[in-house]
Amino acid sequence: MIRHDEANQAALRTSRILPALLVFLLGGANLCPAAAETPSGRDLYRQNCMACHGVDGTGAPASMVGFDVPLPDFTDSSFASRETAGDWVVVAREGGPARGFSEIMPAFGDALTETELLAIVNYVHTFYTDKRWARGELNLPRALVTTKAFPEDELVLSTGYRHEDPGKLSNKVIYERRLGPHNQVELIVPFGWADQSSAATNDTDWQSSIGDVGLAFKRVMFHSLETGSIVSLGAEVFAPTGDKDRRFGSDTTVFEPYLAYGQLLPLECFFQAQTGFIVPCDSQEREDEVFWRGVLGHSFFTGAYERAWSPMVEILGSKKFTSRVRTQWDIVPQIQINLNTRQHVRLGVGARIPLNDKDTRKPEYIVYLLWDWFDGGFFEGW
Amino acid sequence: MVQWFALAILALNVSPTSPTQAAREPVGELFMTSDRCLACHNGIISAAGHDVSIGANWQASMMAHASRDPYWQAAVRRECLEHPTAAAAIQNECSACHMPMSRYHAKANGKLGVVFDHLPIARAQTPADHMAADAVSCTLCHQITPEHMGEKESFTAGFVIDLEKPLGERAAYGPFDVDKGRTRVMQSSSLFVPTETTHVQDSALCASCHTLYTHTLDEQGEAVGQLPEQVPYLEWQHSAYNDTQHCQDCHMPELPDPTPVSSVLGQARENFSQHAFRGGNFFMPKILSRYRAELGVQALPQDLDRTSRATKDHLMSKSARIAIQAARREGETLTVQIDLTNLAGHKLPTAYPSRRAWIALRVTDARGRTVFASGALQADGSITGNDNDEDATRFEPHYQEITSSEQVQIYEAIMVDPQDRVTTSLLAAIRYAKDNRLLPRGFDKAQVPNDVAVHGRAADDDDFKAAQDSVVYRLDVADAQGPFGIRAELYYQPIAYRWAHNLKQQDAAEIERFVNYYNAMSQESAVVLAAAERTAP
Repeated sequence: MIRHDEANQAALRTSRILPALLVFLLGGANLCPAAAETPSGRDLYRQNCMACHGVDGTGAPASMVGFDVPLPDFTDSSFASRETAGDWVVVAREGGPARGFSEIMPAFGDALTETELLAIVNYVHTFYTDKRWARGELNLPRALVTTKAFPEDELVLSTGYRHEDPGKLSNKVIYERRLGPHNQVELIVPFGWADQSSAATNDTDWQSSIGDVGLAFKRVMFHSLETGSIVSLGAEVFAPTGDKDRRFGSDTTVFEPYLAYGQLLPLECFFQAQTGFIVPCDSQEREDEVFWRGVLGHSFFTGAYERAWSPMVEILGSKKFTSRVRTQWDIVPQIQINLNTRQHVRLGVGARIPLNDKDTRKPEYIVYLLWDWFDGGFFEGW
Repeated sequence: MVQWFALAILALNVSPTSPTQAAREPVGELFMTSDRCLACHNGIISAAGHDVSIGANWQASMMAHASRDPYWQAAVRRECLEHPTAAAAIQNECSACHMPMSRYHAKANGKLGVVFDHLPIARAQTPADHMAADAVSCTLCHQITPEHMGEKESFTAGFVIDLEKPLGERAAYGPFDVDKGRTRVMQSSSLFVPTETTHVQDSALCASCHTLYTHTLDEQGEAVGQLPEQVPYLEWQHSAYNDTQHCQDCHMPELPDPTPVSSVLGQARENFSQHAFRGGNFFMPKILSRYRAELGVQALPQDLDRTSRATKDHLMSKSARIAIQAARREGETLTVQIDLTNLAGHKLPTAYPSRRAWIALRVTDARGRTVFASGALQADGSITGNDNDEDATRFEPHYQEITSSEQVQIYEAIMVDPQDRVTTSLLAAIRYAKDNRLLPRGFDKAQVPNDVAVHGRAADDDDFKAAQDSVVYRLDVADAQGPFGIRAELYYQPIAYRWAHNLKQQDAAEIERFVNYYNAMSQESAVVLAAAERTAP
């Protein structure tokens, strides 16, 4: 408990210092579009958008617009805060189909300039008043290992395969759900298959098992679009539901408090970090551990609909407290790809490669499939 | 039956199994429903501060309700029941103008249009149902090409719509030049490319449906003749307005000030044509408003009521004048001359022959007691003294002189079948026994072709001429004391009593429904177009 408090304090200090330092180093670079309302944005909205979206952003009545496609409520912070200004601009420029929405939403790309479109988007963002909701720009691409600071509504299926002897295929189903502007709860269900054959035989004996099921909670402590920063505190607890004999589980309840940080950088780059502790209830079953993780990535966009690609590199470090095992370092090159037009189904793929103790630790190949279910059904928007 | 079917096919340009169509791929979607257009073309305010939204105006018009019109549905059912062997061809013919999008798409794919399969509108399910429900919609009129426009082959729904271009590339014709940016806005959302052209402002565009010939069927369902069911375009062609005004000038009046045609990126445009489609039917919007749930009406009640009021205002201010030209007592006889002037660019009334106008004259004595009345409107929608309302086999002739309360001057079209029996069945009718509808200015009844000719006694009435008619009333006032108060009114009724009640000759749900509507609202079925008063000593 003391260690938790210490971690919290450190995290809080870091959350204040790191963004300030980065902003200072970057010379106050303009990291994101201005969010302030501009008169031209208001005028442009009224000329171009108001007929369907209403003067107040709640949507014109169906009797006025004539169609029955549900109109979004721009005053709903939960909806309006989630996506990036860039995504909004793409939809306004290329029309609804650019993100898998109805073609009723016209394409304004030949009628308005990029600057005008951005001014409209900035004005639209003034409709929602609950600014506790972090802006979508701070929702950085999900890394394979490092937990991000942004709270999500997602379902993730992650698979890792480590080419070791005997073999093991580890999977996780992760269900994340936002609760209000700051909080997120999460259910983690690991399962997999491991080769149970003994060294004496050459036959393989793959057997399935469930792992240690986890519950997690995350809360955004700080976010700022101006500085491009977001900081969250979270904790995970894993129950000993797994089978340690089959190499799925630790036979003890494990707590994992952590601090997560995300930072926008210029040139569509970003940085994420996570640090925390692994605290088992029974140290006989598993050792206490501290970990730290960092991700540096860059997003680039292709095509008129601006499909995002995000190559990233993670550096992972961990140190067990009690044993004399030295600090373990890994590097995880990876890429996240948007699979569909809506961009709410994504694939992450990469490899976790040990940087030391390579004799005893083998690379792990990891892939995840992510469905941001808040943005629509899995089969929508392709 | 074969003969009738062949005639119908010829008239409607349907060739279900023509080699050309059989050989090619099915024709894809040609139209979109109005929901693709309304959002941008609503919320339009004129310089005078009036809501002149194209979408809302159209949505409350009869154009948008052509398929929901319960009278039309009842009439089609009646015709189908009376001519069961021709039911498919009847539905094909009627849907050509009342459900034109679903029917044109069917035609393009070598099929016949249907009516009842798309009903009830309130439970429309398939895309074709929704196309049918949308009636005379945006992408119908704005896709009619100038090909053959105004020529005979364009009549009776013979309009031509491109069959080649796919959605997304199809032209939506309009009178304005649209820049690249706005073009993409419209194209991306509606899937139609705004294309500047002037033919949408030509009367001939309207003529394709409002010049309608029906085929007379005998009891076996075979065609034995042809009737010009409605020909206002031809009437206009033979009027003085032919050179000066198009249909759109009166029925889609232009705003005096530049006004945007869209609420999205709207540019103020000169000659903004209002899509109100002011016509002669103020009664049906009331029915649609009152029975909106049963009829699947989407237009708002206030918009329908506004349409009805605007139609009435238009009729009362722009259609006719009435004057008591002379009124004098000579002995026991009071002589009153009523002069009528038709202000419209076509006959008054015109189009569908259920419409009638008539003179209601009332004379009171010095004590205010009625000493003579002709043409009083009854609560059930009938006219006192009208033979046709009392007896479906008879009708009131055209009068030059009226001497009795049993005589009424009614301006109407009376149809008869091949056996000269009076009828209101379009497909039983072969000719007009009476057509004394008031003529437009410039109309020479001696020179016009038979399709627009005057029929009955009016043909020989010298004062029944272009834009005018005079009727002389000679009244016996021997027992009355003057001075006499004289009030003359010109009434107009879109659906005459007989046209509603003759539907009951067949038994069907649509018929029973409409007759019930009519009976419930018959007191509101007529309007006074013009009135005049005078005192005679």
